[in-house]
Amino acid sequence: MVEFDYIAPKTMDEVLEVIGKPERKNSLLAGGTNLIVNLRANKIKPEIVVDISRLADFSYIRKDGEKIKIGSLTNISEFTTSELLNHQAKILRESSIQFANPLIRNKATIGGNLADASPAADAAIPLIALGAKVETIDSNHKKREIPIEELFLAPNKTLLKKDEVITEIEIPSLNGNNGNLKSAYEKLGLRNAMAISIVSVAIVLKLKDGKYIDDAKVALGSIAPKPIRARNVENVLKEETLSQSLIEKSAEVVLDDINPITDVRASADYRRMMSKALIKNALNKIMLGG
Amino acid sequence: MKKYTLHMVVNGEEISIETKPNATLLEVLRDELNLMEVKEGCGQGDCGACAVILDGKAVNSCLTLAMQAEGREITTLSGLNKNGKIHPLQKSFVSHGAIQCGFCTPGMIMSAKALLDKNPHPTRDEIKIAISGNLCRCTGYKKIIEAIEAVTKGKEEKEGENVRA
Amino acid sequence: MSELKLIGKPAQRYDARDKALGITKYGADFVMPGMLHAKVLRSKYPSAKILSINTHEAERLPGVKAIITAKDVPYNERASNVVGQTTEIGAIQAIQPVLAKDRVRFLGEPIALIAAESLEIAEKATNLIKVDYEKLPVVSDPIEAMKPSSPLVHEGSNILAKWKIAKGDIEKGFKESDVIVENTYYTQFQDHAYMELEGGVAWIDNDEVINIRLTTQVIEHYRDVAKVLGVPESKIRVIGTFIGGGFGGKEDVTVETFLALLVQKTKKPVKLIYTREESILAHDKRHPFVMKYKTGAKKNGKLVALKAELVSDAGAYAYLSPWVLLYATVHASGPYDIPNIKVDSKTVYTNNIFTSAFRCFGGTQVCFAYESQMDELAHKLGMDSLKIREINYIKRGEKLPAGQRIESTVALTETASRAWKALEKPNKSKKGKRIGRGFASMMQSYGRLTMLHDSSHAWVGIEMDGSLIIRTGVPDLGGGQGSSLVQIASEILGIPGEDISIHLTDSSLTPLAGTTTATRQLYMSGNAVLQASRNLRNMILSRASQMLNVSKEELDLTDKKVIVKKGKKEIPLVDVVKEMAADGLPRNSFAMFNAPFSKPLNSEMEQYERVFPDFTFGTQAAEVEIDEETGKIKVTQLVSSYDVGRVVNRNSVEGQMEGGAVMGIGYALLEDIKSEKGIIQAKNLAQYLIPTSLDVPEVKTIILESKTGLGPFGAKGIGEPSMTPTAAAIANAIYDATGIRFTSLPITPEKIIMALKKKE
Repeated sequence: MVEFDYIAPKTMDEVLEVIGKPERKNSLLAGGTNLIVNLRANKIKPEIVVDISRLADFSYIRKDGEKIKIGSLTNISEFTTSELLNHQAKILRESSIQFANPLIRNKATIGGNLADASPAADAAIPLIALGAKVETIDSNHKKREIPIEELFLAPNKTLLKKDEVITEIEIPSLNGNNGNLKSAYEKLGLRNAMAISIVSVAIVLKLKDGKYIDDAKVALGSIAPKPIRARNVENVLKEETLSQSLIEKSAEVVLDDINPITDVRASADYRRMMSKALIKNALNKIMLGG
Repeated sequence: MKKYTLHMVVNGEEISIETKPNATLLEVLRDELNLMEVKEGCGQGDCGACAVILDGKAVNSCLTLAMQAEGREITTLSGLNKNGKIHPLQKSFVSHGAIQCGFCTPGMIMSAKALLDKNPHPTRDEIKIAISGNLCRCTGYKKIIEAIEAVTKGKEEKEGENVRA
Repeated sequence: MSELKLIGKPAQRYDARDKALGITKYGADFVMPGMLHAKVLRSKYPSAKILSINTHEAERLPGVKAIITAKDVPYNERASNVVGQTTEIGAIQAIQPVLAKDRVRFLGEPIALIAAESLEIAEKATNLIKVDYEKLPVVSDPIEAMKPSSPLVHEGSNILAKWKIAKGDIEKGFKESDVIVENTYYTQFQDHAYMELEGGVAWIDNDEVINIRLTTQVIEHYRDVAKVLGVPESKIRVIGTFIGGGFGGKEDVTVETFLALLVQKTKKPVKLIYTREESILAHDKRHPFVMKYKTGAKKNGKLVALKAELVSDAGAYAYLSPWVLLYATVHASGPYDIPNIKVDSKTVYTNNIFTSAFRCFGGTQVCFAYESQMDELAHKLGMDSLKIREINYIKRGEKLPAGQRIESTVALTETASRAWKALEKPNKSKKGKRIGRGFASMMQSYGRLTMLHDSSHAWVGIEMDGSLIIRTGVPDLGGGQGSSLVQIASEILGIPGEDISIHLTDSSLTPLAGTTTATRQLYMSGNAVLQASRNLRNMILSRASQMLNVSKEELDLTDKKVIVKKGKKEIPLVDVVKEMAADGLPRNSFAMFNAPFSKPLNSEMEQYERVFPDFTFGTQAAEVEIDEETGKIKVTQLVSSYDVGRVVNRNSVEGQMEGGAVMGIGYALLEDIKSEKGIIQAKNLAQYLIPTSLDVPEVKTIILESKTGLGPFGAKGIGEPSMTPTAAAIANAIYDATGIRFTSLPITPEKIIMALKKKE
């Protein structure tokens, strides 16, 4: 493993002070499930590792009016048991059960998964479909909000500045739709645990009168250099009535949204086919009352 | 590299130890505390052989910096025998033939322990999920699942005889 | 023989308790005061010249104690004759350097050894060694490698070894056939992926003996180590540990030579443990095979002719490739009676990772082919797939197409029908899912090639308090090898297992028992322990018969007592032992067990009178559910049914059958190192995928006991056979579900979808 110094600030102020010094190359340590792998492989060489996992006030899933707010240091395992999510953002709970494995879920944090910016980031896909955003703070104590769909730039690259930390994830008002919000998550991996996605799809539809689609958000993972929003699919879905033919049409246009590559897990061709298949599966699930 | 003093509670004992910031919890448990039952099978969270319970949660000790354990409680497999008795899970693994080469066993039992601490009567599917981060190459998992289930059903609820020193 | 008391029961393994408590010390769990830490520098390229190796900078790093390159190894180039190969290929000598000198032939080939005061320093030093390479062309496809235009991996030819079988008139056989099936099958590189990484600690004793304590299936490698170091064999001692899984991957030399060289140079204890990434680069893989099969049958289903051309990828160095090929060749026709047969096989050097031993040893690749062929024939003939096999299964007393007569029971009809029937009613087919069922039968030898004149030794001795010690050089791989030996001695001597201690796997202190490979330890060392125990029993009863004044035949040993079978008289065993001691009688027995011996085989032969001691037969049946949209394959049921001859420990037998089948599921559906032009893509356990608890069904086992095996009490072997037919059974189930014959492993969701699309 590479050599580095270590600090475990107790408050966010201390964190910001440390990362505000650009002369000392730092890495933030939250769950460590990616960071420690990279340190061990000498892929990154920070001078100092800033352990933020001790900040007590950043692990929560709570209701804030109509919104759901999630602390950036919340473990994925908390998602799997959250009753709040189960009622109001089911898709997050569904997807978290397929995240890596229980040992990893106990360490990995939602903020860490987003900041790592893997094209396959399992937590990002449903959050994009939910229209969620992250709240960040920088070393000047300036806060900003970034929609998660805009957060990612490339594999392992985000909009975050070197002195900026994700503090919270905010899921917009999802209630107040009189239960007309329907969602589905589909992940295809080669195993049923510890699987990196070949393709993952999250769809959230706002329905009116049962089948008329007022609004649609569709996100995909592992089919582009970053998690993406499938606007072509959304445009097909929006202001239409959910039907078998609409599902077919949506699946066709997803090809315009994605740009998959061939890697050790699957070919680009298969990824294209699976993007269609998973869009179909997810929409069918919703149509059948998902 | 600068060294730090690390304080933690390991298997019920308060420990202070000098450590380098880039040491993993796995390294400190094995190399400094001689807790050789914590196994390294991959070093990057892909196999679960190094699983320990950290503040009530089963985690991969290879993906944890030792410094992250500051002030925390850690239980390793041998911590289950602090009272001098064999733990029901250990006993059940033996009697059900759930152990072949035994290399995955320490991590497997820690995952099972963490499950049963939270959910004393899991279904068979919940057991399978709970051990899905622990790879086993010998048994095909069936006897491991049976061994854990037997404990939940009270078939192996009693602690065993004394453990030899 | 009187009724058995312990044999066949689900006994608790004596080693399991320590493993449950975490006390067992594996290869990496041992430390020596003042020990150094070692690393291995490995080749970055699959094929290159080494122009220079510069170690100066690394040597200057404080804390570095030794750096060894090829020039420092006393006997670096080792040449061995390739088994049974005659003039056509040449009297070949396989050359294998310990450390690469001027040429590397696969990515990961060892170049230099480093020992330092800490692992960190050793790692740093490894990175400071400068190696100048000149890249050479890479040949990574064995078919390409056989062409005259191919780059050569070694001097001479890329063809390393050949074998053949011929019987009857193959052309006539096909002319007489009403239906012929032809397919070419492909299998992949498989990694053993045992949980315990390779490693150990070595040190030097006062007596100049180099002790190497490591995880290994073969302690007899002390001889190889001695040759490399140029010291007498008596000066190298290998102490084996309990092994955290081997499956053939710890059968070849791993770290022992490296450790011994560093100890020889530094005179200090040295520890070397591989990382997972290094393990994947450093140890052998299962051979990929290309198998061209043509099988002909009559309308009534009777097989008439089988022609097979096998090519296996030996990788960059010979290791056991010629042997694996011989196994594959003899097993190529499966457990069937076929009058006309021709098998030609070759193993070929490439710049891929070397291939060698892996559970089934060539048996599972050919089983995938011959059982896919049988399934195809059944479909072409419109016959029931059980029926067509039943007609053709070899029978006891008949000769295999390769020539060897089958001397034990062949319970294939029974294992097949019982496995098939044990599949529960199919799950109702859901929308978008296709359900299919299939099965495969197999044969797999147990025990080593009889031309190797295999033997095992065991020593059994009774202590003054009536407790028992067994000494035998058996490495315990995790299969419960040692525990079964305790059970056998306990059965014969009437001494409870708690009072028996067994000392295993030490090349200097335990009598050599041979390798824990080839499904041979229960058979070989089980018989050695059985023989020694019976001798000792005889000695005890002789003395007791004088004490009790009854004939030996009337006595029995049970619960540490000698009893008169039809009477009330008994005496404690310890009293007899005391008398034996007082009389100066031996209280121990040393036994040697020999397998059947046969003459050497050679590549000119077309028929083989005897190749193996005996065979295990069995069948697996599988049910799969395939998602039409994604191609995802779920094995919903798997039944494994074998005639194991005789069960010694039921838990251990079931454990092998469950674990073997799950390894087979991995082989069929998931596992592949994905080697591209000699570069392994699946570098760790996140990319090399073995099944998790959520990827497999709970395997159902059906165990039959014909009691006709060559092992103790009629036992056969089950370690390797437990995996042989899984891939074939799953492939046949997938055919049933999709109507598509998959001829290459692993069968991935992507392959399913592409094939389904093509079919439409």
